[in-house]
Amino acid sequence: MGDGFFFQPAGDGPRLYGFLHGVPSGVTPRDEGAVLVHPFMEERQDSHQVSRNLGEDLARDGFPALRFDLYGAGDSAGEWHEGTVERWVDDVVGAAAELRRRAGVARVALLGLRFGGTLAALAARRAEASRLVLWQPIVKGEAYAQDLLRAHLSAEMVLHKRAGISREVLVQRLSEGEGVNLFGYQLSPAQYKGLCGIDLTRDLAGFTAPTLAVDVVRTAQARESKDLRALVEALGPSATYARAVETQSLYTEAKVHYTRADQVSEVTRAWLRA
Amino acid sequence: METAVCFKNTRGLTLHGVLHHPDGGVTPGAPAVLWMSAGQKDRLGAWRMNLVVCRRLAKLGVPAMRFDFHGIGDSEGEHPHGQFVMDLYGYIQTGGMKDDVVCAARHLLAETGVKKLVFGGLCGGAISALFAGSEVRECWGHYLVDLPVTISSAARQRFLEEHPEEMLRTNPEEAEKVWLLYLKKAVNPTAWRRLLSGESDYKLMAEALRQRARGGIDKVRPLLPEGARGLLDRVVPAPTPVVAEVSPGADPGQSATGEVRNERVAPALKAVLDAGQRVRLVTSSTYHPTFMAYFGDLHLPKDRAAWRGMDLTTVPDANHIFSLEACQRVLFDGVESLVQEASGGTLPLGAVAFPPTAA
Repeated sequence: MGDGFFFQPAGDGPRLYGFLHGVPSGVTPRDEGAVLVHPFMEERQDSHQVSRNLGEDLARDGFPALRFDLYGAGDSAGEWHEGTVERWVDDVVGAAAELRRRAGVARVALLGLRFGGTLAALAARRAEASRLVLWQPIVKGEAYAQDLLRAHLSAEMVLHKRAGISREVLVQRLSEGEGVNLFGYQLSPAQYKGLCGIDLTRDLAGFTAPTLAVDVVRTAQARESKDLRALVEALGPSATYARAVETQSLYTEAKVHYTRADQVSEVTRAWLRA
Repeated sequence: METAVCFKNTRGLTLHGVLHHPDGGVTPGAPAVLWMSAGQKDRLGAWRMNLVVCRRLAKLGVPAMRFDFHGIGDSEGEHPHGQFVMDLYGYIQTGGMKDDVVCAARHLLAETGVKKLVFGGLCGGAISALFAGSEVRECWGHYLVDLPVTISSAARQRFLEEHPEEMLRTNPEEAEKVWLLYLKKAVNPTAWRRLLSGESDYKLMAEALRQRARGGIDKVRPLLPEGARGLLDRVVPAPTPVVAEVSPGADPGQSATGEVRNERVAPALKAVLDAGQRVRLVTSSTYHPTFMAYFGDLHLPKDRAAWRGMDLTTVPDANHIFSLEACQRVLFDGVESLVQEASGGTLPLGAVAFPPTAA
């Protein structure tokens, strides 16, 4: 199935944890590998099984696949609050280099779910990504940051059975240099600022490598994501918009143990094989 | 220093984990800590709780290991895609991960060379630790956070369907019927062929025989003189149902949601205490009412001396995942003080800052 290991993308820098899904014997390896970038905070944990199975699917198609943990996340070194968007982009670039070295592939595609897709997109040029696959990426960081704060306030209200502070107060605290505990993770002011500064329609403009943007929806009737459509239009002919219907969220704890994203996998693998 | 580790469980599946080695070597007298994962969470736990616990311990000179149970995280195996999470919880709460814990403990002992272990974990991690405790003689004690004492009624039913021998333990009168069915088959050549070719359900047969023998003993028990009866009770204690229906006095709110008391908990607790292992139970204020509603009704022996070695702490204003900073602090302090007790007071407590610093 694969092996876990620690690696140091920056020479003697912090150690990151990686898990390589090698191409099984009997399958012809391709000269292209895949780096999978995980989502933000608890979404990483709750999507882990899906990511693992996507990694295995890709390996069975001949793409050696590397899942890894960003600095301060997963099993990697560091504390969560020390991570920044810039540092995490460096990690993605380092992971791509690590996959080239370990698997001996010349080309590396970057794939990411949610904020992992966002980081993959931000790292794509520097990592010289051969292709880019974005599963439900965060296109506008500002809106995402506000959603996180809202979710945190809801959780606090449930626990304490009373409405506490407002989102505006949290934003004020962050602007004054104070961290905010979001579900046990300390969101630092630098992270908040980094998130709010992201707009992929602007940041990824001009990127010419083939890009697949997958709109993961719960029903066939669901409306398409305006943000994702805008991103595809901003990228022009190099980008493809696709939809995948998954009946459960891929990144939140639910009543059903959702371990596979078969539609996402099928759409992605068909595009990568073409 | 942290290293990636992998080892096999008894089913031959490769389990993956991370071992935290103390940079300055192991503190003399220190145990190693095996920290278990909760539910469908991988070895990190919510907000990387498991990792932070282990990193702090390593800084105190205590080796610590986290790993993924089979079918979860990086470890091999699959739990059915699309199954209700409650079913997975039920699998865990009926001992589904016990063998993984035993294998992990063996691996940790071999890797570190320490002679004693402390088990810990939250929720499903706590109950998996508890089930395995009596099978690991090197286990010194347990730090069990929000130990689940209930189980979904659907999970209970599934467990019994998959383990009919356990059904016999709960319903001894059925054991007599099963035994008679086996006796009738004694003149059936096909049944003998199945028996000799390993196709029979030996566990079911053995349990039926055991229940029948026990029934005979229980008939004799009241007729014996007190001394002989006491001796017999020690050798053949009265049976305890494994997973029972909810009792009339149990929390009606919980039973309305399909939760029933998990009667595997009390025997498991008793087994580790009988083995001389220390148990520290910690409950969040969120879970505490449920815990106490059932814990007080777990068929605990009246003799409080039987529970020596166990204590219970409740953490105020705590959610189930202990994500709030004040709760985290209580959690870390509790783990470290128990490990300090296991070490005989040799750990440099206070050497680790809060919030924890980077590895």
